[in-house]
Amino acid sequence: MAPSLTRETPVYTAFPVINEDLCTHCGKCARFCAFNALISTKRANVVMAELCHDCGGCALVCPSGAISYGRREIGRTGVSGVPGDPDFGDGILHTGEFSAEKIIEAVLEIPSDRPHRIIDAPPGCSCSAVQAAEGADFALIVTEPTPFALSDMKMVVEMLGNLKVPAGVFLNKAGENEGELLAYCESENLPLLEKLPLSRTYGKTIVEGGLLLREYPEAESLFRHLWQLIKGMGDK
Amino acid sequence: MIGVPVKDRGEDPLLEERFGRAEIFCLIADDGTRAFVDNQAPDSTSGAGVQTVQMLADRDVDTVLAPEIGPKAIAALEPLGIRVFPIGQARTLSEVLALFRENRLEERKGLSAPGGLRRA
Ligand code: SF4
Ligand code: SF4
Repeated sequence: MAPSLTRETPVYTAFPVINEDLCTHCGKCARFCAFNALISTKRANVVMAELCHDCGGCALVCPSGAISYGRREIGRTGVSGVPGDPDFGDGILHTGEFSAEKIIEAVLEIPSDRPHRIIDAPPGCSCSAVQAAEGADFALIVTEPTPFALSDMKMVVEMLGNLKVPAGVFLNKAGENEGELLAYCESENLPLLEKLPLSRTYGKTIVEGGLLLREYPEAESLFRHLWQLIKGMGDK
Repeated sequence: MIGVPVKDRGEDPLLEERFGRAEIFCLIADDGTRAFVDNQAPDSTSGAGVQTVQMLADRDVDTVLAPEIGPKAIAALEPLGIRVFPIGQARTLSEVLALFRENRLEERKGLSAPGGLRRA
């Protein structure tokens, strides 16, 4: 689905600004920065704003009070739906930026009074996936019956275990070769909540931007059932 | 002072293809004396190139002869007034120094072109 929305809320991050009148070129800030965002030499200082993780440390270690912070926009968030109670929110990271942390934080903080919130996390166990899953009441692992997907899934299961987020499994493209996956779910005590069979027509609908839910009654009842199960598990 | 990333500490070291993650740099003073320095950056997860630039600047390097240099390192070198020369066909330290002395290496200019700083 391609929701139409405008992303109007800028997300900022900070970067250090060095006051050359106060700076003694002692180099403490550059030695402190864990992200190599600062270079300080006798001749000149260089600030690599894109590398700054906004920890605030360089200003603390500067003996001359030469460091203050500027801010720059790294992305935006947006919502669609009822004003004040949106039913969809998302964020984008501007091209060339590489730390999505603040965008995800901002998206997770979009206010909503709805009883449930579904967070679409990136695949795998990246920092962004951890950030999206942390604190969730329940995680739905969407997987496929391939060896590749299974090895990825094992890592995700481990991550969710560390985060203490209870999980269940949704099997996409179900059909042949499910044995290994089902055995793994059983050994980990992971409930298999629903499965969607592998189907050419489903694939076609999705590629064309359609919604399975709208076009196939069996898919609608499948997703309804899935949601009931998730609600039951998440509220436990 | 000229800085060149190298693979070994021999008589005529092989040139290292990497810059930020090079483990050894050979520093050549104006009178031709050579010194080898360890580059700590290979262990650092982010901004290895930037850390390498800091190390070279601390040692008064004003000229770097190196193959590919990452955009972040490039963006850091220019404001410090450190000139960069790609090494052309040279494979060893003596080859690249000879090319440099004969002015046959072309300086990499316009380093702060838009986008230089923005790459991850
Ligand atoms: S705020 Fe932290 S990450 Fe940013 S430049 Fe200063 S020390 Fe580095
Ligand atoms: S710590 Fe402060 S005084 Fe020292 S180099 Fe950095 S900005 Fe300048």
